[in-house]
Amino acid sequence: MSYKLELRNVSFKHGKDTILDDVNLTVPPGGVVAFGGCSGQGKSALLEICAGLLKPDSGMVLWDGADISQWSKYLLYDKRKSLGYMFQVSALITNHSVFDNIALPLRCGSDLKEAQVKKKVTRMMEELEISGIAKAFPETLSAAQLKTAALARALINDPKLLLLDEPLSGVDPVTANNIIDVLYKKWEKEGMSIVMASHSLSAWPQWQSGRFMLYDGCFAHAQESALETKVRKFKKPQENNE
Amino acid sequence: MSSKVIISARMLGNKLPGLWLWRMLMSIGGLLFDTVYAAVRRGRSSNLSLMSQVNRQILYTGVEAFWLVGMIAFLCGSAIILQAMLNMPKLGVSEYFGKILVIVVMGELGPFITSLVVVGRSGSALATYIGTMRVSKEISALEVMGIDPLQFLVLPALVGIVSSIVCLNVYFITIAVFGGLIVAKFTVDVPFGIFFAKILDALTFKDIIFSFLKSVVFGFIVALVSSHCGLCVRNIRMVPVAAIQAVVGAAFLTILFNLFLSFGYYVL
Repeated sequence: MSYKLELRNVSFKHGKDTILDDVNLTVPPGGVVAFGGCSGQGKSALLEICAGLLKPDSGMVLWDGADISQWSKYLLYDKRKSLGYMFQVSALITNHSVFDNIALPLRCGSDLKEAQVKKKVTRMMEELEISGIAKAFPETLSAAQLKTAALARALINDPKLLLLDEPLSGVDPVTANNIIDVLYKKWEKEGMSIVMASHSLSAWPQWQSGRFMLYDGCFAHAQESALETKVRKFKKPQENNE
Repeated sequence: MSSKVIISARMLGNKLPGLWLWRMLMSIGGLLFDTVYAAVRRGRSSNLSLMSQVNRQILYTGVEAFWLVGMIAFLCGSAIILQAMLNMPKLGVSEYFGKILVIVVMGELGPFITSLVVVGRSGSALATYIGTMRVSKEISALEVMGIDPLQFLVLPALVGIVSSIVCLNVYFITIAVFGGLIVAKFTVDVPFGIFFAKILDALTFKDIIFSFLKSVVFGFIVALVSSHCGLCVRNIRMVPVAAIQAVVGAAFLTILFNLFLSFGYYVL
């Protein structure tokens, strides 16, 4: 089971700057949408809007056809227990070990007993090859280890909708390959819907369709061959501000 | 309904410039309401995570302040009893020695100084910690995991700080009395038996209840003001500001509520 995610005419402003302008997006259950774009184009903001962390200035965000702005704070918390979100900055809880960070969604959002939680977390850490850092705290980890631990936390509750913000940035090629493999296998097995913001869209050859570029607050459908041309045509951020 | 009233009161506070105290009271009132509501509807959330957060808070707030509070209590108790021993006979009120000690140490200094120590150590640290979590998106991470930050951060801080201040208050009073006892023995040579008898004669159930009540109220103030200041952080530049606001706000409200509670002691 996975969520159908829809964005209808979503606009978002930061101060006077329009970050997203009338964006429409539909991710069918089990579908994958990956989008790129220059820094500051609103990729992270779009993902946060999808998760209900930011409220759009206009438009609607629908999960399985239900407008999430109509939900109470507590209903949204309940629904988010089926959501996986990987932040660009990893956002691991600093006074928790890696193991406790990964176990957190299960301990606070499921009925699993502690023994089952330990078993599930250990298996996930083995899959992502981070068993060695189970007892480490976030401040002692490298960027790649932080990203991998954050991905493990996002995947641990078998999410129906997975939102990934730059999952490969700052990650070495070996770890990146492992992350791609694990994500692809999880998606094939569980069929969750995925929305991903990434600078390196070419790193995901399995998900050729459903690729977009975010440019001037709007989506432009981008074929692999057209991507680089589009990127070259981008204005610099300071020109946009002017 | 209640949350609508609180939101309206908060908005009123925001529209009246200079009413810092009103805004702060409304904000921490709202935060208390939301936190209690979050605690009530906790549902399936694990006790394990909550208890580990509470234990951590008690460790930082209570256990690690043990030596500092003990030292302050000893010095304060010694100074007060020294002054009382030397000056009360001159004024001819030596028989009230026990009552003075109970009123000053148990009724005022114990709850007040322990809460000021906790404000300085843990209040600022809590505001900084929550503010940093806000900036580094850890609070957003909790929210997307379906975990209410009030339940995960504010509730354990509240439980941890209130229980720490209550325990530190008892500890403060004990050490202050013993400090006074040592001073009394070696300076004015008052026998231990007479010293304790005077204190126990003066001690009433009402004194104990009010001392306990004060430490509970001060604990709520420290935890709620610090958490509120931390949660209001929006960028990294606001983190030190939040720490300052937490210390100033909590210290001021502690003094204010101390006055109300002391007044209440004599009215009731």
